[in-house]
Amino acid sequence: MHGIHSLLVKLSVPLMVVALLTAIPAGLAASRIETNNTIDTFLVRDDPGLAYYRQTTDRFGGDLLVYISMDLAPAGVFEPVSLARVDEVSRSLAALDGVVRVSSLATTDAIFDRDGMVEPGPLMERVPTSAAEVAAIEDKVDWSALLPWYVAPDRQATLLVVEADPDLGAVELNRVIGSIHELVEGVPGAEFALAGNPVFAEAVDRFNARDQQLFSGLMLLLVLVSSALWLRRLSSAVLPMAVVLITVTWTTGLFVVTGHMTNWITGIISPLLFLIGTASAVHLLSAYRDALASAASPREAITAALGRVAAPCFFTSLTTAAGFASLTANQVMPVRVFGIFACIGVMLAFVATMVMVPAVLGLAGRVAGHRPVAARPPSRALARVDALVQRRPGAVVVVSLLVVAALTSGVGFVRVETNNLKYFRPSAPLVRHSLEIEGRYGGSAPLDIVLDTGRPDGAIEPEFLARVEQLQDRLDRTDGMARGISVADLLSDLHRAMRGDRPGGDLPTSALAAYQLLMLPDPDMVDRIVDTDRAVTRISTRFAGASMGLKQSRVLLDRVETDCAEVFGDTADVRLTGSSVLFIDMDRYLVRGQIRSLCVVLAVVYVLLSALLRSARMGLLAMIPNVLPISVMLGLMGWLDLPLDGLTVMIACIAVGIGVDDTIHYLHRLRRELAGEPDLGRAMSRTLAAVGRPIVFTSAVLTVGFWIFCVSDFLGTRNFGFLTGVTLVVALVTDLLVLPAVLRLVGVPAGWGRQD
Amino acid sequence: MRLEAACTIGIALGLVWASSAHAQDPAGILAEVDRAAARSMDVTTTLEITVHDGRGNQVERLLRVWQKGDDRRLVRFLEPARVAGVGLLVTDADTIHLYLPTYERTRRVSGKARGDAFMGTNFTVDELTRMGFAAEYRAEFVSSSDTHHVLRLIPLEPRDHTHAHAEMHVRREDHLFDRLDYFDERGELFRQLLLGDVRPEGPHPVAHHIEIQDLQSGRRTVAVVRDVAFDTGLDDSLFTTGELMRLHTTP
Repeated sequence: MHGIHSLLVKLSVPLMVVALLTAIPAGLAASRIETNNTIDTFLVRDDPGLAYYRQTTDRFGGDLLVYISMDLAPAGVFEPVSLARVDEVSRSLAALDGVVRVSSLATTDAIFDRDGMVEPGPLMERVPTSAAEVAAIEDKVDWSALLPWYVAPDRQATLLVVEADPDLGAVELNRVIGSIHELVEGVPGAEFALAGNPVFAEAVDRFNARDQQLFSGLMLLLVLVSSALWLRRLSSAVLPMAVVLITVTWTTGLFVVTGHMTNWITGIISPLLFLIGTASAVHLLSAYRDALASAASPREAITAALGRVAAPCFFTSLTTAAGFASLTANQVMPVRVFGIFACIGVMLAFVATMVMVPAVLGLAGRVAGHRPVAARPPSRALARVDALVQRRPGAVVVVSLLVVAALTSGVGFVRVETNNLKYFRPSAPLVRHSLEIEGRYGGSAPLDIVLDTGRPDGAIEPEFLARVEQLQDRLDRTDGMARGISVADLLSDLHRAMRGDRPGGDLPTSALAAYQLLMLPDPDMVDRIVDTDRAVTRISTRFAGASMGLKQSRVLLDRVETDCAEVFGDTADVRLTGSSVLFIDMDRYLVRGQIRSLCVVLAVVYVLLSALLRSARMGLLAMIPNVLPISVMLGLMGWLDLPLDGLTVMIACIAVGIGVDDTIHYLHRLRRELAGEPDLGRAMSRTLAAVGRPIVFTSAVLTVGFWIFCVSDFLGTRNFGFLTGVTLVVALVTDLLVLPAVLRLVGVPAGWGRQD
Repeated sequence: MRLEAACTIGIALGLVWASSAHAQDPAGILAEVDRAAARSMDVTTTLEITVHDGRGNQVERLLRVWQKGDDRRLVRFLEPARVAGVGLLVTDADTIHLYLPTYERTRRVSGKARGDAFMGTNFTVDELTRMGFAAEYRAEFVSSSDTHHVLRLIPLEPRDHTHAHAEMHVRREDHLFDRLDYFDERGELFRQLLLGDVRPEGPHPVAHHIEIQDLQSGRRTVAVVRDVAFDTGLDDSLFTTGELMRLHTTP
């Protein structure tokens, strides 16, 4: 091993040059990083619901829709000036690059029975200038079954739906949304509210960009200050910073060249690496400073320092990486990607440390005024902790278990949340706008009710159409649901137009009549409602997903499914789909992923600890400070009503991966102290004196670092930072109190002390 | 209006023939295109239409078109059986009658419908029934090659069209156009009419393959032209609502 360390020191400068050279292309690639918070990136790839969603969007068109409510109070919608504004805004929106279609009162086609004549074509052929022309338009809206969809019941606001090009990349889509925001802000005489998945993605991107800059800056500052404090020299603190900078550059470059785009989950990889990537460098520098006192030359000191910390640093990096790697067991893609690249980043940080630190120290030579880091006065607080553990280990264990049990009992209250709007403050424009649209039009979350009759023309048979109308009536009466539009609405308009003044019902009387009627409108319009064989159709509706949590949304959708079953029986296969439905269904993946990842990380950490400590029993005892904090964290989530979501689902694994480092440092040192020492208590005291301060210091820095995430405006990130920090605090307490107390009670295996 | 008027299936079907004129100014060239469309008394033809919806589905239709002069058209679906008898009668610029056999009545349709898609195809009613461009467009010269003139057609009434302008590729030899591109306000091509397989039918060259592509939706309509007959002396009684309601498929 000594040979490897010597070789590493000998080759350190060429290796550093290679590292710096590879950082150049990595940096160039990293500079091209793009953000993508569109809904697609969050969906579970092998989810059968996603396959059905794709099939539905292929069949009827996508739901990449921006809902724009245009509030025209006090004049109201049906005034010449108001409709002129709607027309102007619709045209301006349609002229934006990346906009495929704008549906509004000004652009929609319809068919009417008017003055004894069938009148197909635009609702507004030209902007009305007189009250009579406006009244004619209002009459058409009232006559139609389709058009009321565009108008709020109080007639003070109208809905515009912008469909973006589905082939747009995330960056282009954001640009389109930015242009829409810009456009509507410049329109006088109307208040606008925007909602829809692309609007959400753009808002998250803005938060993300701000957060990443803020977090990275604050984390770097924290690293600089904490390293300077620990190493007692500002110049020495620059080296850990250089290590994390090169680590982040490598990792981000790799992230980009492997075709990934960042989102609000993977966006915290870089700040996180800034935070945890310095640990090995600080340990190595600290050991170097200690070794300088007795070494003949800096090179000898570096070699000695590597001999002392390289192996533990490798193991701690490995366990931290294992914590992240366990997240790949989660099916939610951003969580999985986060796990992969955080894992890679941690190991790259170790490599960067082993390459950069020896090289720079070797080049710098001996610097005057170095003082061994270990030569610090023992902490009185730690001495008290040691005394408590030594004298009252049973009480410490019992009290700790009672506290843990009390806190853990909150686990039963943990709720899962996949409604991303809940991450924004209630005052955020996106939330206010979504709620406004839900209040006015019944919903802002797109929902497709797909009805498959399984037979050609089945979807246009009169009896089936009557059932569709019946279901829409039920939806209309359901709180939080919009009535939606359907093939029945379209055929009702067409039929009544053709029927004219003849008596009869509102729907065609045969499938053949319906088939012929569907030849009349724009085929694009028909294609978005019913398939070519007229066997499958959809009711396009919306529900109040913004104002509801996951649980309420699920109850609502369950009710809709029940209504569908009652109305259609076995006459059609009914499925609910849409991006919002997929998000609601994501809860099971989060819970399943949490369980899988936890099992994986605990198993991996147990094996690593057992191997490192050369004892299965000690490996088991070492799991105590890692399992208890997770229990407390999950319990706190329940008590504090902090939901399990895409970010908080990662805490347990991250906390185990990071928290186990303290356990490793403690037990590794204890084993060494036990060599030739028959008294466990004395060995524990010396261990705490030796590693207690670094453990407390690093835990404090990490905790503060994670609490920096609390400055985010994005509630998910804040919850993540807060809970991870709390978990690390609990891990520290269990490492310093509970683990030693348990060891004092049960002892260590005979001969466990390290003799080498 | 949904569309774009302008070109006419009449022209596309080969209702035009070569002109001996060689006008070089854009208005003159456009006038030649129009003139070429108005030189037979009547024409009858059959179209085999395939509509591709851009998602891999397609439907097929067979329809027959009767035209007399430049203002009267009767279009009737022959196949498949479920649409047989569906028809459209145009007797002047503002009078269109629609007939669906299942409703057993004709209904007058607003003249505004001329720019709308025709019966589930990508053709507009205008394209099936109208002739002439000069009345609706101002022509600008774009370029010229050995075989074609390219004209930019700018609508005289922009609000009547969803396109900002069109570009017409006119064959120098016979003043048939074989390509018409439609551009939106951003200058992006969004719709294209292509004519091909031009060969003589009696005295006139006729495009036997017509294709309309909607580049936004990916929809495409292909028409194969057959059974073209010029100047057969179509009776005026054919162009009545009574005839429109007749269920037989040949007049």
